[in-house]
Amino acid sequence: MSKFSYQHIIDGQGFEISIAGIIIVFTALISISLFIYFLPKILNLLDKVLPEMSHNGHGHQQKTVKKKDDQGTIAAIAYALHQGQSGK
Amino acid sequence: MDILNNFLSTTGFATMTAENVIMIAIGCIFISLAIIKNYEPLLLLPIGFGCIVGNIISLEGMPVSVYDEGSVLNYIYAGVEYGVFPPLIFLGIGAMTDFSTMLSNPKLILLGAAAQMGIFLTLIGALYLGFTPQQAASIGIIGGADGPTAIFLSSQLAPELLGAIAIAAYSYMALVPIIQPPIMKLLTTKKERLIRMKAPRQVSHREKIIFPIVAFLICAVIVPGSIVLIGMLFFGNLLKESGVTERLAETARHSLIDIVTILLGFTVGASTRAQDFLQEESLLIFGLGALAFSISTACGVLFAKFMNIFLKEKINPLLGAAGVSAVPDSARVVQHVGQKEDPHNFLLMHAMAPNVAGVIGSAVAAGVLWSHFIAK
Repeated sequence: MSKFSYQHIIDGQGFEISIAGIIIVFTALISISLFIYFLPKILNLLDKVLPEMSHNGHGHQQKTVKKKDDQGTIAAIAYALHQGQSGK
Repeated sequence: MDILNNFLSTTGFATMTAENVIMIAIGCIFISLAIIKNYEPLLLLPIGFGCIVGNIISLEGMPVSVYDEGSVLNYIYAGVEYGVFPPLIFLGIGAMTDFSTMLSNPKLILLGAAAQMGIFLTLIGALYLGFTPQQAASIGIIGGADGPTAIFLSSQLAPELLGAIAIAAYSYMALVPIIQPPIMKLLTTKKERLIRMKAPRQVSHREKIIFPIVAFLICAVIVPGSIVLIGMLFFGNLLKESGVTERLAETARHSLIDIVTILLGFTVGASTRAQDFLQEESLLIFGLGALAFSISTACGVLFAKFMNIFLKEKINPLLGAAGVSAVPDSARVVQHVGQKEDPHNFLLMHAMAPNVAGVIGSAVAAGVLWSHFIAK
């Protein structure tokens, strides 16, 4: 290691590396920031074409539950009709 | 009697120097800070004990230390030397990071970029002091307050300074609660510290899944040198957010990161043999590291104030200090300093946004510097 000198900064392209580095870091993070800003808008548009699916088969489970509920309702109506028709 | 005399000449008492004793004392201080003050105990304790181990000098020809080829410690240290451990730590960090607050307020990402200025300004300072450009870049990255990134870059560009840089980086990460508050208070007014942030919006599951993939592509295309660190960070995050690889995410954020932290901390500590470590260069690195860390903190705070000139909805400039990527310590410091002014002001959640952006920023900065010197 040699003595302190301003010339070392010039020789090592210190200013160039630093300015380029800061610009690149900002470019990367601004790009991510812009992407995040527009992401909900893109997803809203996409929702019209490709609606968000429920995760881990929850959708299927909901359908099954709904089907069970429907069967229960039908059974209750049938029971009520049966009671009505039998005059009880 | 000869056998006894021979044996005594092989003991640590005979081979140890005053410098080794100093390093053992430093190791004890690290362990004390970890246990008594609870400063980054997961890192300081393994590093501290490693310091003690590394300064017991063995006989020549007896492969014991990290520098002796064929020793067990040397094999483990290969993970540091070849830059294997830092990406694995990034994988774990990704698997435990929730990017929600960042996704809900993307303008706070800029604070994570501003806080990387310390890296590049310190690089200039290190060049002035006579370090080579590769060494200066490795020293500058300490300003990113990201231990794994500092180790990764110095292992690639300046392996001869690895021990000093790793110790400096982790020491300053542990000293976040001491270094940052005075700078934050100095650069902000009471009125600014009292600013309250709007509650973050709800982030959808789909956003959380898409984010790591696209953010990786953006970083990798702009700075291919950041692929190793950023790739592992976002891969870990995708494991977490996908919801279908919970077992892998669980392993990455617990078992894997813990194992790697133990191996990395211990061997980095063991690499601080006084004969190599106690040099003028190491002192300069410590000085420059403190400078880098302080500049990064100041740049983050000042950039938040600069952003407030243009923003209708002002941001609390204290958040800028969280742009250095000491996760989650610097975010906690923001919360602590903010609550000193207003106990009902909760900034922690908001501070996590620049904090995780800082992790990305420092990895990108490391990629920029690595690419530059490899391409040269």
